[in-house]
Amino acid sequence: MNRSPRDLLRGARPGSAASGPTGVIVAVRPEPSVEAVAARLHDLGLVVERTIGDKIVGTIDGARLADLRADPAVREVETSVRLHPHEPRS
Amino acid sequence: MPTRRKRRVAKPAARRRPSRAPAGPAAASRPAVEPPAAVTAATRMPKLDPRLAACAFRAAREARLAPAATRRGAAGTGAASRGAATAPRSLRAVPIGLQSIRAQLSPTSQRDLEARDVVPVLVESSAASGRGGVGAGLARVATEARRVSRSTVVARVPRTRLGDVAALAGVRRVEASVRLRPRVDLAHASALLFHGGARSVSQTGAGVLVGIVDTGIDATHPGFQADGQTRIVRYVDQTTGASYSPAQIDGGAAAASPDEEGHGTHVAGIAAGGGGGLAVQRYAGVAPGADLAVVKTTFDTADIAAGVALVFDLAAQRDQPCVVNLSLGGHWGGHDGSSLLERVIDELCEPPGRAVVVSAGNEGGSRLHAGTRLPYGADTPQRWVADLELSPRIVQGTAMGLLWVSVWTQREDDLLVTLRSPNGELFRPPRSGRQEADRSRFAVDVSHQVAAYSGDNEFAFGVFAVAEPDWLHGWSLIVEEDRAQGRHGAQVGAVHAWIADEAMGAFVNGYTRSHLVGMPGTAYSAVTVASYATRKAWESQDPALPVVDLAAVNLEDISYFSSPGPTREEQNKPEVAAPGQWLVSALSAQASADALPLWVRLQGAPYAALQGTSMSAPYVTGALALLLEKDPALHWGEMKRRLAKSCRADRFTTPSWNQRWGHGKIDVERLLTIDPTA
Repeated sequence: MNRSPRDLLRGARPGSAASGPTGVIVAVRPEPSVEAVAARLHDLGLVVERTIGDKIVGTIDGARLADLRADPAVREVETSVRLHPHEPRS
Repeated sequence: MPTRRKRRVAKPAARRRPSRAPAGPAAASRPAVEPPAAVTAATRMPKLDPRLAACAFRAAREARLAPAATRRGAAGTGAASRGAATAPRSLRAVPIGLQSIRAQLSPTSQRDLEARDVVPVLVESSAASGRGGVGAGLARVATEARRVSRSTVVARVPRTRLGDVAALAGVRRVEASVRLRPRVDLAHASALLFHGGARSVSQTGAGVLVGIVDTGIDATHPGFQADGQTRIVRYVDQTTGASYSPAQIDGGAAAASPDEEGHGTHVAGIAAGGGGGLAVQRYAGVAPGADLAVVKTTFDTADIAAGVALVFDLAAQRDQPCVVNLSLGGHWGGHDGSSLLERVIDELCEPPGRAVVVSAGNEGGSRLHAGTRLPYGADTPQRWVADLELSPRIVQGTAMGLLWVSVWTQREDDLLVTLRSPNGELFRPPRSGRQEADRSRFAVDVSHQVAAYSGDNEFAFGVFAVAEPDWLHGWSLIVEEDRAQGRHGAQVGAVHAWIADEAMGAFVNGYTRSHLVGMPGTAYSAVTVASYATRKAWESQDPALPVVDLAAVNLEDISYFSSPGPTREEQNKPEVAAPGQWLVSALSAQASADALPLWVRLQGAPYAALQGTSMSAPYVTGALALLLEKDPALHWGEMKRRLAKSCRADRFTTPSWNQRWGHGKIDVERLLTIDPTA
């Protein structure tokens, strides 16, 4: 085994990327507006793909997730997890 | 994969053993019907097909029970009339139990046959019967006979004389002529979209945009074209960033974004396929007149959210009502509709004329969920244990067991959640945040967080173990009341645990057959769809399996794989059940043989049979497109209300909502005609 159990576990953690772009959905406090918040979060490294109401869909470097979560305008951050088509496997 | 598949090679009745003669004094006193040798001969060569045999038996029984004068009048002349009071000779040796079982093969056609005095049949003669075949003999028995091939005569025979036909020299087989139906898709008949082989509703989905967020689409499939032009108004590929206009699709540019899985093409065909590629459009989808917008997604939740938003934006630009289909899911999050993806869906569906339909999931038979309710106010602190096992698999080139499990408890409760390893070590998440532990044979990652939206507690455990039995088995989750230092222990007491994926492992005990609808199926606004069976056989492209006949499929019953609800908050999910077990729909020409093997591909047509709630969801998507064509400004709440009100109940369902069926089987015709004020 080349990698430690902990490394393998970390690598397989859902939505966890130590670095590199991570898909996120961010719920924000839209004050003064979602667009203004999105622009500010862009400075944190959030690449905004789309805003939907008070939520922003985008990507951010995994290393900066903690900064994003700590921003006062951010209420929730959900890192993207991989879903799958609903086909029976048995 | 099906649970069972086999060639449909009818086992000759000749090889079936006749029923053993009953033992005991009563049997001993009963005269034998035929000598054993005749029994053997007759059962080896049953000339009448089962329907006719049952029909002839009934005719003989009626003649026996009828008054003598009537019997003489009805029985006709000749050998048959002499034997009319007993069963025809060719039938005597076939056990009555077997006859009645065979007669159940097709109750409808059986009733049709028995209602007739003269029965239409096909008579096959043996080669030994010569050029004239059986025509001369048949002419004496039948009211009408006409040779249609060298060895086959079609005839009309009095019901009472079927046995005489079978007894004619040279007759090899007598088969009932039965009425066939136009081979429209069986699902449409079950969902009452079709009556008598034709659509029972006038709506086709015209003017409605159907969105498919899935593995892509084979845009060249004839089912997605009308008058030689594509019906796809936009095709976006999130995996490459490409986007195709109708002109680009017609120019062939979309070939750069193939649907290699075939899943999205099949799903799109069920919702809105036109049925092209065949002389008869027997495999058209539910809303063949709808426009299509397709997103080939990465299946990451952020991309799914963006894909759904993109389709609704497009619908707004085109001023169209819109239904988006999501035949996908997973077991991350609180299973209560509070994930951000699900709340995005709720937000996008808020304007009128919009709906999102989600498949319930295919974990109906899995051991992914375990749960309990700890009692309130017990004298001593309560404790619950659920054992786990990891499935060995290859991850990043290494054989291992790797499992993620989340335990959710209510915000009102003070509960301690601990993971116990096979060697007895205990791992408890910190009050907030995460911890890791690395051992030589395993590693664990434990965390606790309070969900921002619901305030409930999520305890997450990641487990890695070497792929050895001692370390794959023997893991346990322990949930205990915490009454220390003024804590309250269990107030609500609801505890739910989900393993993220059934490929990771399973609960050994404490598991349930409920709460298996994944996200985003638990979204509040989503219409979540269960699956039931409507097909079990088809002719395939596989030379080794030319006829697929899945005997284990119980038609009209809930699919074994269909995930039951409710949500963690006990909300009613799924809402409705639709045909999803073996639906025939569009086959992507780009799909690999690994993704769609030959045995699911239909013979001679660009169509395939697939199963899953992935297939039942687009059925409802198509039905809602029909509803939105009729009333484009409906809110999702009203759409759900009408779905629930119009559902069909039968012996498989229950009169009210239940966790497997939802409100019942979709009834498309009723959905479209139901009184809005009802």
